[in-house]
Amino acid sequence: MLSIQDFLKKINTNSVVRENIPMGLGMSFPVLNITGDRLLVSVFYYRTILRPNDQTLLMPPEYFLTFDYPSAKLTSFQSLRLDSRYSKMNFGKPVGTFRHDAVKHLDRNGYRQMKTELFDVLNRLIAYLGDEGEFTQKDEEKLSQLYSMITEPSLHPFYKAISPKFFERYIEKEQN
Amino acid sequence: MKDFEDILSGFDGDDPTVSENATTYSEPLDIDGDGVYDGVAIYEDFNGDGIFDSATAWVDTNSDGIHDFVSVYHDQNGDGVIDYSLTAADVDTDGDGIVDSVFLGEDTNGDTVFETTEIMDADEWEMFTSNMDGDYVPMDADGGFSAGYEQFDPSQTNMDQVVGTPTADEHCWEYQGESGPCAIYAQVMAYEGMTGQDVDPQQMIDVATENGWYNGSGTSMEDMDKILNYLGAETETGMGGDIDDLQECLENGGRIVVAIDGNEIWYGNTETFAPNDPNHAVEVIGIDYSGEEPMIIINDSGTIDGHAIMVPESQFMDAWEDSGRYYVEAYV
Repeated sequence: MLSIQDFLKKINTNSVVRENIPMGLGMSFPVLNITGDRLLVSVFYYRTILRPNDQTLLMPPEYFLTFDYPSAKLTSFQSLRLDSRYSKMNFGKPVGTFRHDAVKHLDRNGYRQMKTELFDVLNRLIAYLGDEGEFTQKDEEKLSQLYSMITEPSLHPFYKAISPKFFERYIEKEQN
Repeated sequence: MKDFEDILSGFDGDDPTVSENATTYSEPLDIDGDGVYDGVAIYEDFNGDGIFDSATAWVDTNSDGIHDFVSVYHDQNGDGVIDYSLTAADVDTDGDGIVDSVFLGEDTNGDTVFETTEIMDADEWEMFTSNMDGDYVPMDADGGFSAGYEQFDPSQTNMDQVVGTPTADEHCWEYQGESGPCAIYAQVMAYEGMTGQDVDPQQMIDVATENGWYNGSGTSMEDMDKILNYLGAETETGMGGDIDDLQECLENGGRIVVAIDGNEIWYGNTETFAPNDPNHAVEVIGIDYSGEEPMIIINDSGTIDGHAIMVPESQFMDAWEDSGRYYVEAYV
């Protein structure tokens, strides 16, 4: 099975991203969509303007992309700047700052470790969805806890936009 | 509007550009020449070389006793020429006689023309100023670059072990500001290094915008060579580059622009990190093999003091890996 880490590397260096995503925009955490018998991975790209002391600015996402897993073929591409639904959004105005309270206690290595844990559990979910492994109740709770902690609350509306079901199950649930 | 030269001419006696061992120096200003001081200029010598490299003017333009105009000027590359300024001024946007917004203008190349301007309301200004304790790049207490990297110094190395012409090429460096035209700046720096010609990055941003190579947000990796081609340079792009590719290109008189994880370079040695790892274009201007580990020397337009930064090969390769080690070789 292709790990989510390798899959993300694959899409970040493929021609779709190389040709269409401006450098300076970074990828969100991946979320899953299931359409028929296909597993899809959705991400958005947004800019961060780094500043010390938890004042890094998070700018609004500019692109929503969805890829087929594991082929990494593009299934949808949305440029928010050109989308009438986002016409009132000021793309020059930050939506929030990093780090939020839930990850404020983490240093660079701690944050990286949390990312690794998240991807490990997500890999188990992907394997389970492909009939290649088990995904326990404990895994389910762990994934929900990690997604809720690591995703920036100010970006949650955008996570919800790219995968409402995944958002409700793994990000929003833990917060309620 | 007065400019930096006017502020300097407001001084009598000693040349205020010379610090004479003082790291800061301030003097009252009479900008309107009515014999009453209406502001103050503060000069700072960040790197202790005896030359002030920053001047800040605080001015009360309407004589109400409150400074309502501030302008900051920087000589970023130490060549004695102001190459960056930021101006903020109170404005009354609805004409009711009450200040309701702040104008902010940024001149990132010292041509005295604002490349970016913005009118901020009270909320936006508060958000902006709440972030003013940091900057786009890490600054140490003295205002210098503090990401933990040294800048190339030909007197501190064996030049026989250096590939490329970093001493000359670092003078082609310019700061891009807090926007996204890194790839355009990197290409302009590369072209200037090869030809010795002076190219205006803003003009190239306009060209790139017209041609769809820059959308106001940034340039895609695939378009990372278009300005070089437009200027007449021949380019070759590829994935999976390595240090031998860098060396060969530099030895053949070419220049090389690479896509790297910018955060890893800017903040790799600091406490600051981000939730994601965006790609960023920089120019490789040399390799120094004199130490235990080769040092990759880069011109980074995204860092306020980013000329001739030396990055250890291992850290550079990690940062380069994120783009699949994408590169543009350029030749004229």
